Amino acid sequence: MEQQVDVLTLLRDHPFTRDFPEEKVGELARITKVVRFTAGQRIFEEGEIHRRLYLIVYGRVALYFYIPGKGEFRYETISSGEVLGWSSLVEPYKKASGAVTVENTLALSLDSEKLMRMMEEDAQFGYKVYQKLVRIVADRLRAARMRLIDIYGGGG
Amino acid sequence: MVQQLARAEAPLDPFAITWYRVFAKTRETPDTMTIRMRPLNGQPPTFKPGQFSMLYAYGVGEVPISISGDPANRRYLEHTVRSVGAVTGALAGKGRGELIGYRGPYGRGWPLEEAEGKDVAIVAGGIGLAPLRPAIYHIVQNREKYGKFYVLYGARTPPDLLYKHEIERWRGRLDTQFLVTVDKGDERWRGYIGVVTTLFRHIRLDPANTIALVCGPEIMMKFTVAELKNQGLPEDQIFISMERNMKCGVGLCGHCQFGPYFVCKDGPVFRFSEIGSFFGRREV
Repeated sequence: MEQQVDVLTLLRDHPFTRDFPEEKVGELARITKVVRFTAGQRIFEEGEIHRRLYLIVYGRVALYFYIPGKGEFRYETISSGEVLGWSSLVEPYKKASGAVTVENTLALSLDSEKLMRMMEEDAQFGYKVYQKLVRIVADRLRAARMRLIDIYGGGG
Repeated sequence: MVQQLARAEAPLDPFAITWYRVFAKTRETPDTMTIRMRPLNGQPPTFKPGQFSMLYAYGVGEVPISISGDPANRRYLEHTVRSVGAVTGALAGKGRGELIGYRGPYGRGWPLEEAEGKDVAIVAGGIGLAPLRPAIYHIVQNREKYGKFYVLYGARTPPDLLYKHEIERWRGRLDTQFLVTVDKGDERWRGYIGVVTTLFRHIRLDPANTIALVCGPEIMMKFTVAELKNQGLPEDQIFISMERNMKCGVGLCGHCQFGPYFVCKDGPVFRFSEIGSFFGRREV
């Protein structure tokens, strides 16, 4: 079923890759496969080395830490049009948190090692990818700061 | 109070209290109650979404509380009270049949007439949903007068969400995009997780044709306004509801001074362009 989905079309459509030149999208298609997860499926665990970058097509994935004695602390969800797994492109490639689907999810799964090779061979393309990654990491950092402040705590 | 029972409902001066009887109470969260109350005499006053009341717990004190009910409902008033101090604790503890002193409604509400014909984006954080609930009722009941309608609501955890049954109903509407997020989820929560501003990733506002109504703690409004500006909304299309220490409710005592304004009389709802230059300033 997954194989019938056109990887190229999905890459052209995804916000992370839609503004890449057609030739790069074609190259990306060769290192990408379509994956489908059912709700509740674990994609990776905290601390794991998992060299895949996921572009979510539809569905929802929760990021979590496991707190001994308390269970999972889910702190963010990644949904359609977003990116999961930025740490697969940044040394030491260890997952900063676990990821579990909360809905049935369809994603494009890119081989991060091959993607990094592409980025090294074409520095301009690499710069563009890292620019997008920095934006994602900055968004997460901003959200983490707001959680630290406990933004709903001050209301009366 | 006995004299008042025998007299017409209209108060003689702005500080005169009208007595209301609590007839129903809903526990929204462990520390937050929605109280339904009716005047001992006559009908409750009409109000505009976003206005507030001064509620008096006999012998304890008086506090400003936003009206949180349906503005089209003329039978009773609803207020959602979070127990955070002596007066709010006493009000939240009022049971069926007990009396609450009432003054109001006061202040400037949400610009729902100005928003007619435009898209509306409501952003609420925590108990900030309470003063926006009447606006949601109004827009839902007059849906044909408005364009696209977005509600973005964030709370700390799933048990902290207010008005859960109504949210379920509103989320089921095809003409409304009602997104809810919590800061901390667990294995049972299937919705979005993240602070309220992360919900902006899932909508695209039309900056030329959108009015944004924002309410929540000041720090949440600060980040939300920044996100709205990122989406291209000008400051004069963003409205926020301010909270200050209101005492008289009618702009006489000066307790709620906010720059050149009194929040009770000139607000609590302000156009952001009116207050942007001193919003969030340490001295104000």
